[in-house]
Amino acid sequence: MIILWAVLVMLGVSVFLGVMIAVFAKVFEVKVDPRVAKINEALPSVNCGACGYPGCAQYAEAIVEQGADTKLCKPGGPDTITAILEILKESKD
Amino acid sequence: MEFNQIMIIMISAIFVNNFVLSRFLGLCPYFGVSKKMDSAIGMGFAVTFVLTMAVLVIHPVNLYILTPLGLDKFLQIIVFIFVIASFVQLVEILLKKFSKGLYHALGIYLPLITTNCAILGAAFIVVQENMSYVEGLVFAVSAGLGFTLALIMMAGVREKLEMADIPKAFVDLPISFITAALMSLAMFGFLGIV
Repeated sequence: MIILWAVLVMLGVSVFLGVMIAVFAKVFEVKVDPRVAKINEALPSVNCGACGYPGCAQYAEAIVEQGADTKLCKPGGPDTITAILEILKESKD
Repeated sequence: MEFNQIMIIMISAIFVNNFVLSRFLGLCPYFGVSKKMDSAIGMGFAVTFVLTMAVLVIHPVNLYILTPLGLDKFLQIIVFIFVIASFVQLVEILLKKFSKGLYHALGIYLPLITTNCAILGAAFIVVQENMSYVEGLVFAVSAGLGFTLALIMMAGVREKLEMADIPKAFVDLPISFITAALMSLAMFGFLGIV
């Protein structure tokens, strides 16, 4: 009997907290530029830090939001630079 | 609720039984975030907020749901962690929206508040010492303020230490531990006030 109560309480608490988090996530949503995800995919995902940023995701974000230099990725090489410039160009149109 | 009693709880939680320097809880964010004053203050307020909200919800849940059903013997830990984790997630969502700089400054240490033993410790102290709702809330706010105070003190010292001439083996973390130990010894001066 006590096990039934335990299951019900856990269920109730989880549902309540889950709904609370979902509501907050929707109300306070931060719009992310889709170009950031595209550039992140174009990068080699090595997270080496050669560009000066802690990881490929941070470099992608810096390119889109702070206008960082697009030629800093060493493992990517010229192909990556072309891809990044393509993505930045196509979304401007 | 007498003013006397509130003052006793506050002074006890902030100075005499400081969460970081006397109880040794919450050491991970203490050493991780105290390099800069700004992130130290931000982390202190985040922890205070999570502490208050956690006790706000945990106290009635424990009193009206867990204990009458006899579930408090084995479900306490997990239900408390559920509530704490949810509120930490909330703080992360709010910070990401309203203060991106602080969100990036705190980085990984924000979700680490969830497993921070200071929050769970405060919840358990409130439950085990049978504090009333108001007493528990005052205790939570004071514990958060004490944590913030310890963080600010450490950040002040560490910022100065960066210019100091420290032996190479002691730079950064080891000298911080020694500093924390000396600060903790100093806090012993408050023993016996309450």
